[in-house]
Amino acid sequence: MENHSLIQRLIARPEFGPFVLLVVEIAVFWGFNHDFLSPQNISNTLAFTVELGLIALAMTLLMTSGEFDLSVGSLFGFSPVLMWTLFNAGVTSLEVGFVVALLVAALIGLVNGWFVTQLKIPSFLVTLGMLLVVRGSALFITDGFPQRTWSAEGSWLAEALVGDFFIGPFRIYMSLFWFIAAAIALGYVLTQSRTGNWIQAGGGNPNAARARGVNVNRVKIGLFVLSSVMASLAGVISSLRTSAANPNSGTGYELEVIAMVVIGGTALTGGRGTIIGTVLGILILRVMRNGIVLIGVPGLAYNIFIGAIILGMMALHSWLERRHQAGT
Amino acid sequence: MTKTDTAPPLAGSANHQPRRRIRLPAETGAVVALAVLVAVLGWLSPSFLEPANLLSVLSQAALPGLLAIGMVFVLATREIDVSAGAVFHLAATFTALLMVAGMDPWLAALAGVTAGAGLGLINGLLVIALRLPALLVTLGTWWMIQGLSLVAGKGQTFAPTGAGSGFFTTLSGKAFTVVPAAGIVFVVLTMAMHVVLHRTRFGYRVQAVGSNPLAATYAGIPTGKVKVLTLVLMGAVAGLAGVIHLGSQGAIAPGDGGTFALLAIAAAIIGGTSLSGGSGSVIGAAIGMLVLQAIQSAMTLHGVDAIWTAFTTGALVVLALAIDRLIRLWRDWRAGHGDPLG
Amino acid sequence: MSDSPILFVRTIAKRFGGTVVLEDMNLTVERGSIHALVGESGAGKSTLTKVLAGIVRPDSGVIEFDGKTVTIDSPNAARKLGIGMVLQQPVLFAERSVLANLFVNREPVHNGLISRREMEARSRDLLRQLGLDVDVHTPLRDLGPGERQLVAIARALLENPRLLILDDPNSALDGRQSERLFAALRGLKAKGMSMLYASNRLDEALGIADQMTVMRNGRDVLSKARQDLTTSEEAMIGQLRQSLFPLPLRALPTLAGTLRPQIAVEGLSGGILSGVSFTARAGEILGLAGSGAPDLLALLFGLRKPRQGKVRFSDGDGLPGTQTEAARRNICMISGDRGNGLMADKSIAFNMANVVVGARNWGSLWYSPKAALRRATRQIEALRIRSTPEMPAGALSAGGQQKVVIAKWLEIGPQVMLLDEPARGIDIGSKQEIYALIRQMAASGCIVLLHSRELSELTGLCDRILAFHQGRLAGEIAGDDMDVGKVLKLIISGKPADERHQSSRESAA
Repeated sequence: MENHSLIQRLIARPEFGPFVLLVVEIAVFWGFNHDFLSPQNISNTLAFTVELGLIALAMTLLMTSGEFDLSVGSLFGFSPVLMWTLFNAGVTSLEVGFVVALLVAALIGLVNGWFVTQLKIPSFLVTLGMLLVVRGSALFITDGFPQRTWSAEGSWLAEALVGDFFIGPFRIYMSLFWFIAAAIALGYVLTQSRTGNWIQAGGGNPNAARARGVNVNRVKIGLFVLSSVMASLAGVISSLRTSAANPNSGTGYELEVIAMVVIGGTALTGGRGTIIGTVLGILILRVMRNGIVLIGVPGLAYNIFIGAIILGMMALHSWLERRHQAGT
Repeated sequence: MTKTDTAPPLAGSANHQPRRRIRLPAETGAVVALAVLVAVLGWLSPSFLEPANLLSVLSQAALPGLLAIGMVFVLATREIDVSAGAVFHLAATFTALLMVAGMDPWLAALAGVTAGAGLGLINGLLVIALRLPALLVTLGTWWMIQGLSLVAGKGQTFAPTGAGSGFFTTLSGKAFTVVPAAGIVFVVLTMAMHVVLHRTRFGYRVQAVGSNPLAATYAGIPTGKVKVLTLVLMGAVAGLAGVIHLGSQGAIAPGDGGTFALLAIAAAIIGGTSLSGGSGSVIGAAIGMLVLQAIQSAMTLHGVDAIWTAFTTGALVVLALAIDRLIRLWRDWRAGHGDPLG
Repeated sequence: MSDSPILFVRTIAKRFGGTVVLEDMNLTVERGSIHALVGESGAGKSTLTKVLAGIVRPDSGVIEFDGKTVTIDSPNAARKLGIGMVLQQPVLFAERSVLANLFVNREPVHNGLISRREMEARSRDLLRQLGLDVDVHTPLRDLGPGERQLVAIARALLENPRLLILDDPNSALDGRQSERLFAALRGLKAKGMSMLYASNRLDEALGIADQMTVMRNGRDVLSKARQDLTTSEEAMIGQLRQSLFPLPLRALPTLAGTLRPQIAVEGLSGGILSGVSFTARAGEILGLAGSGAPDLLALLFGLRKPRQGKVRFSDGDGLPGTQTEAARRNICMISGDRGNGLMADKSIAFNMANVVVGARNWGSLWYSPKAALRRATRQIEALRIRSTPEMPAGALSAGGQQKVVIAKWLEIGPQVMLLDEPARGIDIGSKQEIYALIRQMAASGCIVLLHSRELSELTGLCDRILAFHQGRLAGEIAGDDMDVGKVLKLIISGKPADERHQSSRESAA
């Protein structure tokens, strides 16, 4: 085997493509409008980005195991609504309401996982149905109206999750650190632990994995729970940061998150995943969203871009796969 | 049972006569479900059985029902098209725009249906070119088509003027003063597509491709072409539904058709079409949609909020999927399936 | 050291749907011995090994391991008992590295993190012993099939099983790799490991085994120590197949006035083939043996693109570009893997219409179930398929299924019939009937090419055999010359058997 130079090995990594894409994108947008890289713009973009990002991290692991979860968007809206409803009704404190919301999300993840692993229904369809169930529940609890939220200053929960402070001209929220911590933790799990190997094996060749004694079902159920809990957490963080709780919020997030994961290089069919790639994918999409608005393209056109990028990345992966296989 | 010495009996094969099982048509389950459902709902609230109400169920089931019919063909080839709802919406928006621009409403309607077919064609070509399952391709095109719709309609409800023209009165009218026009189209198309699936070469190919794509290829069936055609059909039918929606409602709102794709899949599955492909039932899908709409209508009658619609749709879909899978598992268990040779 | 057998299998039975695969199977493996399990394909060897590996559960019977009655209901249970398994088609992870594949779910873990260094250390010696000289970090898909099989074997060995079961482990290995494998196995035996070696290659089994059990139609028909086998018993085992084959038609029919349809191949290169030239004619069954034969079939059926060469079919055109095109030109491929030709959940009538209705581009746009039923009834009678037309094709036995696959092509009469181990996994009676069918096809003007790894099948059925060695056409054997040994020699060494001068330093594989 020849010794590849460091540069060559870097280029061969699946994350290289997205990295280049991100750099080009930032350059282009900055070229159009120098405000793009202003501290204020960056801070604003970053705040919401990490919330979606938390979901994308969990989704990376789930997709590596070969499954999708489309209910995350509805959980993003449902959980804070549940938390605030309980709080406003005086049933519990905010903190306990938070825990309840997370537990309910975990339960929903369990149900998702059970349907997929025991009844062998495609995860896409199960979670699509669950999306509607959860959304409907959110609407039901609130009668369709946004919940009252008090400014959560002073609550230690809010401080821990979304306390903000300034570093120079940048406004940073605590959620950024949570995101970084989650990224590091999940990245390690995926690449350096046995559990990560289980996930990759289960996604790459579930029969072979089972033959080796991997409990593929248990792993997948766990990942569904992780995905739901992360979505729930992200929703609560967002709600505390913006002091709002709208039952309809989160609509459409699931596809955007999947797009982030796919663009980052995780295989759609499972078996291979990269957290670094997902982080890049998160940035690429959010920068795109922010950038096109700044340029003046109608925000509604964002969907078209996302769809085109998803298709483009899928085509690219598919082409690379075939080149690889033709080479053997 | 097996003899290894002299030749005649075939060693190794089960030596009993295959039992003559009467195989019920796949639609039986759906028909029974519908009958039972109507009976129960009628008992719970007699006003449900009033002709006006039953006809309204039919008219509400008609448009997603059209999508369900198209979806049967797609599901039969082991694919799923989730962009159907967006195609519905874009076709309607496109038609409305043409009308506003001055085109004759009927021509605009034709253009709308064609546009739907065209979108289906794009889906199909992408599936072939990217060599990806339609589920994933239509995931991407769903986004794009939806985005186009939003941009074109500026996110608002769009009502083209010219309400007095023949187009709108026909489509919002009723034949024999009772049956809604949409309902008639639904019934006629159901029967036509049933014939197509079971009596034409195209229908045969669809079933063959879904049953075993590799065997179909080896036999010379153009698998790719068949899949593309089913997606074109799906698009055309979705476009047709969109155009009818525009005609009968007079407007196209941003939320319209959002859950149609999912409803169509659920209805098809309730009606006996399986996710694993190879077979399908158009009549079953139509009945399945009637079942779904009947449930929703009954809930409205009981004063349950419209807010529940999302919840129940989702719950019903998951339920339908679960039951389909359970039946399949039960059948496999009874047949004692397994792979004889490694 | 106790003398009791390590494995004791009694009256195991298993059926899948309509097919009885195992029936009253008995087996005893002595401790520290290599026990060969031989039988032709379809005898049930793979199923028995899967039962022992916990992948398949038997309908009845007793298994005793190390003196205790056990139930092996999962691969994990087998592993805990100390049973290691190398399957015929190893299940591996193509995108992951060799190292990852060797240690799936058994990775050494320190502080929650996988220790790559330890994995490398543990595997180094073993891989060297097996002769697998690759960088353990390469993804598995970059390896050839032989190397992949070695990885599967290494993986099983890394767990130090007490009983190692190998199902046809050297099917993808070349001569040199096979030798190293056998050497490694002998070494393991010396260390006390017991082995069960399933194969349909009698000579290899005779070479390595201490004990032998012959399987036929799901049961054991002979169990003896190797050295106790009499020559007549050996001959019987080899001869089990003789009565299977229909008599070749000595007088090939001459089509008056016209040239017989043929395929002319000139200088064809593709896959591992290089510079292959021959002519295949209608009326004869042409056998293909050796490495390269599957590639040839793939090229002729449009599954592979050629690098070079000219091919001319009897319809005037060259190689088909895709399988669909091939089928449309009446070139059919029938393989031992019935998943390629059978729609299991559809009725027999539906299946029979595959080509006649499904693939025709002209003619009626309609499909008539009644006509399909009539067609199927006719074929069922003609081919003696034990079923009714409405039954799902998947409920048939393996032999019946293959007959349906052939029948759908009989409807239009193919121009070329490519057969790839068509009788694999089929019981004896149906095999006979299928062989007779193939002979009939050839006689009625079809060009028939048959590839099989069971050389006796080739010598029994074919009129001519082309032997390939490392992708080149090593020789042709016909008529009275046809003999398994001669074919084998050509495939392995590229030289015919009666070459006097030995080239002692043959270029290694």
